[in-house]
Amino acid sequence: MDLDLLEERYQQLTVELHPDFYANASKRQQQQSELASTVLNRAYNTLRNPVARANDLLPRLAQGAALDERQLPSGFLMEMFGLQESLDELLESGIPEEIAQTRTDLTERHATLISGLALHFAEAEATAPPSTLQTLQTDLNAERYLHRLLERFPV
Amino acid sequence: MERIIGIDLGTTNSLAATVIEDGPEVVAPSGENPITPSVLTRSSGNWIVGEAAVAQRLTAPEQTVYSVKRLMGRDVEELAEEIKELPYAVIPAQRKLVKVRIGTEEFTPQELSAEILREVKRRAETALDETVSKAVITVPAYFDDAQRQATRAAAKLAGLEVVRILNEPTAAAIAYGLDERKDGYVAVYDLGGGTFDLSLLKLSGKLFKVIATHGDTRLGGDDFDRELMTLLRERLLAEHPEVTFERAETQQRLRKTAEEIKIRLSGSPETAYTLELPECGIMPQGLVTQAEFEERIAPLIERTLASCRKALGAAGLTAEQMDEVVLVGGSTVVPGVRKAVERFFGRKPHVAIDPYKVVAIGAGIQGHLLAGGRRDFLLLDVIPLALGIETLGGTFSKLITANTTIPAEVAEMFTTNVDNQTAIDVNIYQGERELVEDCRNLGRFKLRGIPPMPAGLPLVEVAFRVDANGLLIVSAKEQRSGTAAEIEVIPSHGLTQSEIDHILEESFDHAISDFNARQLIEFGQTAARMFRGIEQCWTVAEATLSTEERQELRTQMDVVRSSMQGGDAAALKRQIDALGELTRPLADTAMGRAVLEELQIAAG
Repeated sequence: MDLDLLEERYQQLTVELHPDFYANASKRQQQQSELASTVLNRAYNTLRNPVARANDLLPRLAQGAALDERQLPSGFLMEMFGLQESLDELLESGIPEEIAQTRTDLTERHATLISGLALHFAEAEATAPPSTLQTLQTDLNAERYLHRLLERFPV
Repeated sequence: MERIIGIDLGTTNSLAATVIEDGPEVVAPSGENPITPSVLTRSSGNWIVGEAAVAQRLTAPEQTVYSVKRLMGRDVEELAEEIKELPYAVIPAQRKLVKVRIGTEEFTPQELSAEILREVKRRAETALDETVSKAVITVPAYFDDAQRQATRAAAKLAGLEVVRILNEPTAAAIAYGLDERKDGYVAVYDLGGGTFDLSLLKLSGKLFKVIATHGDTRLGGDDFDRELMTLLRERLLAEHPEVTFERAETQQRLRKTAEEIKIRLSGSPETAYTLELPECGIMPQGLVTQAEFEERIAPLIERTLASCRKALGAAGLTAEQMDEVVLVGGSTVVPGVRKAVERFFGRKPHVAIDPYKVVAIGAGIQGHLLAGGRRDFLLLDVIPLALGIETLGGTFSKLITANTTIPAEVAEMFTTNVDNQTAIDVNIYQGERELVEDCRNLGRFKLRGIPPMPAGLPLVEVAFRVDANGLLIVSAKEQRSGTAAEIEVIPSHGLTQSEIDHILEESFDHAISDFNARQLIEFGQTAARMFRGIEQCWTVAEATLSTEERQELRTQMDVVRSSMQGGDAAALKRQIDALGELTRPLADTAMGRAVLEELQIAAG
């Protein structure tokens, strides 16, 4: 994804469509402008975020085939429960170095998962066997967990 | 093209601005202070708003309402701390609303804010000599949906159509951006009387894009006053342990002295004070240094910096990457605040635009743009806090994350749990925490009219839309049958449409007596000015008027005086006009004219 190009096109389109420029237009035009801007913002937000992009793209690649949105990599859930608990204690204790270290570890893991997704996606787009698609979905499910965990850390 | 004015509805002060031929300007009747203090006092069944109400904080503390913005869209539990400090009574009302009780009357914060807006509107109308019915009103960026809805309801009660609810730091960025025309990252640090916001923007060409925002809707200059009040109270008790602070008067004198100390410390390293407490029979004196003050407010300033870190973290930027830091809000004149901001961002903040006026001016510019459909610049703002719904186990499921550019929309599918279920309850929350109990409940809605089907079969698509005002709109459609599910959102903190309508109806009944009360005050001020003018040029009167004429003038002055004691504004106006007629020969002489013009008396 060429993020600079995305930004440039987004700016061009939003200046065309934004409701602020239609405050004096007919009710119908105002509604259309608001709707168009909403769709544009949604597309922009999806495209610029790799995970959002993956979540949007996967059902399209699956072409209607059902993917299990709850399945997780084996052993992942148990590991997460463990992590959750130690994180509760850690955040409670408030030792800054340990919190920072755990956060760095989790961030790295999250990043590795995402770069793995990118590789699998390139594969899936070329061939798209159902098993690869479910692997992708499973990884995306795991990403949600990790993301939530990361959100618990104070800035 | 109908004018859309910009209004900064502040915790402490409010003001209006618009674009005139010379450019954006605050609006006020000529010669008057453009700032309307956000203070209102109840006097024999009428409201007096602004400067005239400020003095009443000391003399009639139970009838005088200030900082009403802090009450907007909040409930009694959330306000527990504030309520303890307020001299007027705040009571719980139905559905988590609060009301202010004055004597036997009760008012919602929306109604009280509406009175302030009405006064701002009236002053703008006088200044512009035209009717004003549309406005852009600013709110703290970190205001949630309930607080925004409350602000919109207040405007409606004041007879204003809100064309746009604009975030205060964003408004400031417009004023700054159009002034400087420099591309880059801008941090707007907005510390007002009661709220704090930090917004990060990227300015590129005519696009002003908010990247991230963070804040605290319960942190501001009021809290600085409170710290000084604590200091004064501690010192006072050390010397006079017998003093109690139960009386509203004592509290208000303490508050007034604290406020004065704060203001003086912005200009000098230390200041002496005298705390006048006639009700306690003492008059303690003392000295406060800037260092002492800064030590007291350091934790508050640290809270603002924590917000700065959060916003920067969310944007993936660092403090060093900011090309400019703009200070907004009256509390940013405090030297300790400036120093802390400068240290944090590693650069001198931009202070070229008056921090008291910049928000109103930005709103005025945005109103001008909206009114004319102009494409001079485009502002893209974000939603400050995530929006979502309650899912199993009381967890908060975020549908729209914080810092998403608005307008935004997310659709979510719902289904039934039991066979032939025809309605689904959905609870809407706003916040950044994991559990709904730690988030703000905005309201709940019921999806009705779902066709009877086996459990799990109906698919109801609910669209959560955040419009360009940052306000939530919910709509729903059942996918299988294609029928639009009925939806009715019951706000948790706000007023329903019918409640707004009811208040509006009542307010029409009050409008005439309110108008009379306000005019009485204004005419009274005019009369006082005329008396001063006449006394000042009495030597001219002795030279130009006959004894009979002078006697007539004196008699008419007495008539005006007694008319001021009456309650009829129209009658007072007639007597003032008659007095003006009698002063006309005075105005015809050079000195008389000079004196009368100086006092802005238009004779005749």
